[in-house]
Amino acid sequence: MNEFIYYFCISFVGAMMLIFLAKVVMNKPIRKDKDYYEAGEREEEMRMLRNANLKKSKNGGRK
Amino acid sequence: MSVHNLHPGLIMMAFGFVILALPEKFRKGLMITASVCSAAAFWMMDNSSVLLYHLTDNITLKLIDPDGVSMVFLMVFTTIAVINSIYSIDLHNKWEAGVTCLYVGSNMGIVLAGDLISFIVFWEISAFASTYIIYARHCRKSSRAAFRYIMVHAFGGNMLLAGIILQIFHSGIDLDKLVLNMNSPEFWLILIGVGVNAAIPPFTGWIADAYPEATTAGTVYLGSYTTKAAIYALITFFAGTHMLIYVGAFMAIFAACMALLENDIRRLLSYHIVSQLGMMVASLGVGSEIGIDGASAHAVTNIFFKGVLLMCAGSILRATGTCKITELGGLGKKMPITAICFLVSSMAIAGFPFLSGFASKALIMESLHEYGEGLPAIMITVAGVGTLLSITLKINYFVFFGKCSRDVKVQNATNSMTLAVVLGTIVSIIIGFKPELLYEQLTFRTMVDPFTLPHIMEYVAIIIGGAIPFFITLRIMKPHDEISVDFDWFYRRPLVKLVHGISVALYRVFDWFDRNVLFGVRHVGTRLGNPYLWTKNSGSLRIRSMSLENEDHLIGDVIQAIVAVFAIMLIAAVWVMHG
Repeated sequence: MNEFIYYFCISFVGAMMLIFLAKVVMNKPIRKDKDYYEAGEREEEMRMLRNANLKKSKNGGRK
Repeated sequence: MSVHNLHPGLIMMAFGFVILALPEKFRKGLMITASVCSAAAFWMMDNSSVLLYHLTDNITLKLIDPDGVSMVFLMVFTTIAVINSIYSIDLHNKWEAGVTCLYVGSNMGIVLAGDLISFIVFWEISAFASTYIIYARHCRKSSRAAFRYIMVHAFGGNMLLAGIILQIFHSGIDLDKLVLNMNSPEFWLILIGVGVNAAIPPFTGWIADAYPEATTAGTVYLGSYTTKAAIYALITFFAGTHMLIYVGAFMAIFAACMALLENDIRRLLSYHIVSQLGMMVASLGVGSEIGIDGASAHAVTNIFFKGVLLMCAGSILRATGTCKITELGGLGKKMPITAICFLVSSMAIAGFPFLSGFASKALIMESLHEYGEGLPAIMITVAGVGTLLSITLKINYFVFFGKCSRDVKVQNATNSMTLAVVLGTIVSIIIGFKPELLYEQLTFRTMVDPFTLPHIMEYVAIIIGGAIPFFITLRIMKPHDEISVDFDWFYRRPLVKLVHGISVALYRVFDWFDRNVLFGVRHVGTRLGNPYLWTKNSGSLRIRSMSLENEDHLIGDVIQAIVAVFAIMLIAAVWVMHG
């Protein structure tokens, strides 16, 4: 019974700590908008495409 | 060549080349045949199997040199290859299928290699093949993820290569003679190289970045091989390195926290790959017989239950078009087989009694307790609670069985996908009820009885103690449609800016040199050819009045002498360099 209570306590306290760590402590620095990386990457790609001076192939890209 | 010496990995790779060469219509049959032949080759092998390749008179490669650990990993690699090939039969095209065979075969090659050269060659083949599997989704996100993946793995591969070259220099190519000393550079180089693939912090970010961007089948394959081959490598090179006990415990906790923040099921499961790897790393860090068997056993069970979880995530993606928890709900009634298999496998990963995770975690915890490692044991237990919270409870509640007001449209998964999911789940149940089937295959055949009442009650306590906080904090456990940044932030943000800044600075420096050096050369050259130019623009009347014709100042003679001396120096320099 002592072991049961010991592991119950470890598990309960551990779960509360994990939830506190993940949802409170790490929440602000770790959680970002879903477009956090994408926005910068798309912008960079657009800039490269603007500088690329693409020409349309006469046969539509087919060899 | 005897049938005992057939190399399962090379068979798989040969089929990969055949699939790539033949038309698409042969792909399905060949994919299944490849995995079945590979499994058959494994079952015909024994500990005396050997396959040598004489590279030179002095160097003989051991392509097959099995030991207890490699046979355990090879057993699970060949078995999951069959299940994965069934799952992916309707999902692949021939290019992806062919490269996947190369990938699977190369990982089998890693665990069978008996020398460092074969090991690194198969390791690199695996890295490049897995990059294609990520790229194979053919969208911009997967292309970028594949690029980041190959950059990270090129770094790891080069570290490993450098360490292996040093190791070969000191003690030859044989893996049997491998002795790594913590004070030697090769120890750290190989540890970094293998640590990248094993997702040891700070190299954790690539898994959650790359795996979810692969194709549905690709993610399932990737989850089964790269990291597990790295665990095999860690056992081979670093078993008994006590530092790894704490590293593994930290990995397990850190990844469990990250998983709690995730909204995308495949990213969440990727973090749980890291968390489970942490448990294996801690166990192999103990280095005892039970520690090594614990790491191997958990790798085996993990490949099955994590495989099923990733397969279920793939089925959800195919059925609904999304893997975001915030866009899903109530799938328990619409995808009952997937839901049940996911539930069973999520219970297995959390260590529920009578499922496979219970059997393998028993060895890990036993090894940590046996060596008196109190804190890591508690950390591993808490990480297990994190698994319970984020997979068993969070996904099952919010995706399958909880209340849902959304009406999610669902297409049926293919029969082959469902069959593979069911097969994987059955394996987890069988190992759970008969853990001795697993223990007998392990290197040291460590036997523990997980079904003692105190041990079962211990896990019941952990499960109840972990579940109560979930329901207390249900409101904040609800996922949000956001992403969480990991160590990959360093190479996706500041490193990109640093490289961009360096390239801009270099461009400006060279641009300045281009303009000014050319201008300077032209300027000097012109004046060497026309000495009057030295004096004619001067502000001083005295200097302007100098000329070749001015016999008093003899400026022309001076300049001609300088030109002559310069020309002689130039000729002398050319002569010295060629001499």
